[in-house]
Amino acid sequence: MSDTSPLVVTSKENTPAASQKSKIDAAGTEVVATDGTTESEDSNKPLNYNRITDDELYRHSSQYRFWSFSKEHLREKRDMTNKLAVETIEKDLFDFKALNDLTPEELNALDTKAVPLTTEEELKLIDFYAKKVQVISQHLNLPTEIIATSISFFRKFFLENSVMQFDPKNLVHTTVFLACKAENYFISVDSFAKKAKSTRESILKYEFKLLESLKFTLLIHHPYKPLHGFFLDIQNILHGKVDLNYMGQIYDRTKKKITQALLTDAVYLYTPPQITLAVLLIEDEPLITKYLELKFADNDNDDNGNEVKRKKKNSIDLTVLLSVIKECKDVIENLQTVSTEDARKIAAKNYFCQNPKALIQNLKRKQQQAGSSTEPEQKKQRTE
Amino acid sequence: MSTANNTPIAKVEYTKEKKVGEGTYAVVYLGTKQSTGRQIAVKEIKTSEFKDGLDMSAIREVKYLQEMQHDNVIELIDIFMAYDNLNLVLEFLPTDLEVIIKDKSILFTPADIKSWMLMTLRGVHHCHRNFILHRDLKPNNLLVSPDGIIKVADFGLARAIPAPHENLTSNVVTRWYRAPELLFGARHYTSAIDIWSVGVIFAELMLRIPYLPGQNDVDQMEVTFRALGTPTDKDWPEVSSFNSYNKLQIYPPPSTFELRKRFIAASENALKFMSGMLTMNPVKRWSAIECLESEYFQEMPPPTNPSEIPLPK
Amino acid sequence: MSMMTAANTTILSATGVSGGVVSAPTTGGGTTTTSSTSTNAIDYDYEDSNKDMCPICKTDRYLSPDVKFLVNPECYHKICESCVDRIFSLGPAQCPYKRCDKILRKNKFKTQIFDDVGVEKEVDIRKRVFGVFNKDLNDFDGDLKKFNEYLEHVEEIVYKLDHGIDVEETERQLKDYEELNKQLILSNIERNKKEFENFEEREKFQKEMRLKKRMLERQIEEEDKSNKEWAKREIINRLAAASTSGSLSSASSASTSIVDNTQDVIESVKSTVKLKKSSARRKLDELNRFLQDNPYFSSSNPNSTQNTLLYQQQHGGSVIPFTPFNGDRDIEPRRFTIEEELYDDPFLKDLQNKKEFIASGFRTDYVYERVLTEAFMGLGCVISEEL
Repeated sequence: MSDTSPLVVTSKENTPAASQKSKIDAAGTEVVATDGTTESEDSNKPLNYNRITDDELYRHSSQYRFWSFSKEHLREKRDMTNKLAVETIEKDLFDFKALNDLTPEELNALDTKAVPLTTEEELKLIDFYAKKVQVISQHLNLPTEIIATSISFFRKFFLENSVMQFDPKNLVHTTVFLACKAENYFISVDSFAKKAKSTRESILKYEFKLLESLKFTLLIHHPYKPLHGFFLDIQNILHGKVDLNYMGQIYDRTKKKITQALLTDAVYLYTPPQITLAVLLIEDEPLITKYLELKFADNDNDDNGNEVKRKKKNSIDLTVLLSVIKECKDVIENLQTVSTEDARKIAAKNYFCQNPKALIQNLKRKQQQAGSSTEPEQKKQRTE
Repeated sequence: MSTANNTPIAKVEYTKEKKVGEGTYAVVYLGTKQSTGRQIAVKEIKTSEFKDGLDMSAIREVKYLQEMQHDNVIELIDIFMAYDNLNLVLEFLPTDLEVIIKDKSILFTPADIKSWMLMTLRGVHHCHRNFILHRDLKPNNLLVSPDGIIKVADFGLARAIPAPHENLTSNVVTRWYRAPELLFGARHYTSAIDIWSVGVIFAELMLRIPYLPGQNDVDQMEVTFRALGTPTDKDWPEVSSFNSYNKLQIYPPPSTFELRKRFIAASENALKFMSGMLTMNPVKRWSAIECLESEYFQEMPPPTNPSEIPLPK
Repeated sequence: MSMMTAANTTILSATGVSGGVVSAPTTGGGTTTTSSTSTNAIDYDYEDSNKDMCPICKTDRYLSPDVKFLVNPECYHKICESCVDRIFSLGPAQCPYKRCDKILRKNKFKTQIFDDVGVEKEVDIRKRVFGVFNKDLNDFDGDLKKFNEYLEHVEEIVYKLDHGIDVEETERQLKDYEELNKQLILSNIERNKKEFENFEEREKFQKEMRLKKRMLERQIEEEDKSNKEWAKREIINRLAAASTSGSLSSASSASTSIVDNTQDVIESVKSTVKLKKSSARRKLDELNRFLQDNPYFSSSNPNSTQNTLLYQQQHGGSVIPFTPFNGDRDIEPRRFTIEEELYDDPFLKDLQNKKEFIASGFRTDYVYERVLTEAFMGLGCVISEEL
């Protein structure tokens, strides 16, 4: 696409009458240029004229409008989701205690074991299952972008809903299945169920709920395409200064790391190119710093005042950018894997706070056959 | 966009007053947005009909309409769930270009056509700028608002421009508006397919009858190449490598004179503009950007102000 | 109307019928033409002066109405079609007119267009000369004096050929000029063709506009009629309503107030009708305003810069540029440029060479455009500050 020259058509003019028409062409060119290149604020604009830069275009995306948050806002959002679920659970527990004639021992068990999860515990459980989503979709040999979409759908669902309302393991297959459809990678539900060793009913059960929780937004900008773009642009900016084989290795390694980054909150706090640069920074900080300096440093050193003003509209403040991607890098590097053991404990707690009756029954059984371990109750909970 | 999570509220907010259309996967109603009195259309997707859960067309439509806010792309006002059905609340658009073309009581001028082309191409350019292929452009899918604005609609076949290695299905676009590479079964086509459709629509607006009305897929090739010449390896490298190429009758491309004769109302720039969009070789076909920068839009007469273009009664 | 003058000029110069001197620049459509009249200075040696009879076979048009006369530009002697067939079918032969020694070929005979062979001859000469001397004011960079000198020169050539003065010398001049200016002549032929097309286009445009105007006028007429009827009905209805309510509320002061009331009702209905100024009328006003400024109607040359400006003004009161994208584009300079030759992308380069990709119209530049756009799209959004 010849974006640098909005005069393509004019230059195509090749008829014998071209010379005669040169004047009108010159005027036409000016007119087009007003739209394509220059941005004079004082000139009249036609009705509905609306300048949309590429950054502005990103601000129009559902990813920015619905799924981008500041750290504080993200925290509040999670607390709110947690709080609403906790209120319901506590009310149910209160009712359960009131309706059942419980021994002090049973009450004690309830107070220690049937406790609603905290925001942190929820987050750990979500992270654990998000990783599962990744593993399962990799196991199904899905393309990278679909794996990324599955992870994203899953994590967004649990930004809107609590694990105390929806058991995360019930959504794993649903998110992968919907991600496939959203990415135009259609598999019939029966063959999907067969491959994923699940059932069509369980896959489809929460599909609507999932779509609704996603606020009906299905298009995601992942950092893989920006990575490809930077891979090319680095070759351009650092031409002759960087080994192409090495660049290839960087590309492959960064691509893998991006998928890891999608398991973190970076996806809500930063834009895809910023995430890409952060991961590239993890991979080779000197190279990327050098690239960014060459690319964006001398933006203001222009003699022409107008030029500077115009450039600034679309230019990048290097200091701001570097601080943003360094922050982003910290968030990505902060990813902590949740051990199966931890996840199991939280899942058990989650189970009992929703099913106090089961806890009591367990306790009774345990009392009957004293000395048994906690294994059976775990098993029971997992097969439920 | 606000999404109504709550069914009862949604039901009150949007009324369905009159059924205006029914397709294989959806029913369309006219209605009103209660809080503002704005006229709306509700597309109710019959989700229960599909054994594989949410239908692909519905998914595509929702996916792409959520991302685009442009004067010349239909506005998705809201989405809600009711009685297990998915409801898309769309802006109300009373007519479309197919109706207008067929309504012989409506007289429209080259300036009106220019205005429609400008609006259509702006909408298509916005899709392409968002890396979305529409894949079903036809007069029927270019809806017209009460104030004459063209809105590109029906994203049921749309998809994001794929990664380079991905295969695409060539079984897209309504037959008459199908680009030659699709007729050949290409699997790595580009946004050029949408531009071809716009070119055919432009021709149809000038002729007021369908320009390339093939009766079946084989006939479509015949009709297309008879009108515009059979492509050869010389002007379209490797076109002969398509399986169906060998059976083709070779027609010469039409001379400027022939085109001029067929499109009496078209200026030289209009013909150039049309030929740019109806270039056989997709690589050489004009992009939406090239089309919008065409001299056709800058020469006299200027595009008519949309509100002054005649609409069906 | 100035347009018509301009139109005539275009047509006439395109066919070469008229010569003349341009006396003023194009403002206000001030092109004037001085038609040169031909004089019958040459003795055509008529055997028979009867216009409707073939001098060879004496076939008379009154007796055989189908008879068709032909002339040959070599000598312009009139011969009927059947004589031409008879005499020249076997090949070139001498003109059957006495004292005419021209050798004529059958394929050069043509139907006589003008009754006066003298005019016929001049027209042919003009066609030929203007086919070669086909410059216009633009070729002289608008220098009116030089252009007029040129036109004088051309007229002189036409005159000499027409009147048989220095024919050989003049023919040579013509030929030399043609040799020297081959390229220019060819391109001017193209231009004239185009001008003619432009003219046709303008004609069509005007016709459309007239049609549109007529339609709007008809619409206005109908609306006026229905408005009048509505006003009549409305006045009656309101008065009826007023009188019933009036008689109920205040029976005493009825008579005077009813008169006032009647006036009020009529005034109010009238003003409502005025407000109802139809959209058709508004459109007609706009159309008229548009046509006033329209170069196709007001100026003789549609290819001037001035017209582009006028065009821009149509978009609003003051000069508003035409913006094809209405802002739906990134600002230049963009954050990247595509440097295809600098990229080492083994994967893409591999695809680029595959037959099925080439045939499909696969474009690496589109891929580069896309991934680079996505690399910089949103790079400048700082979410923590914006949201």
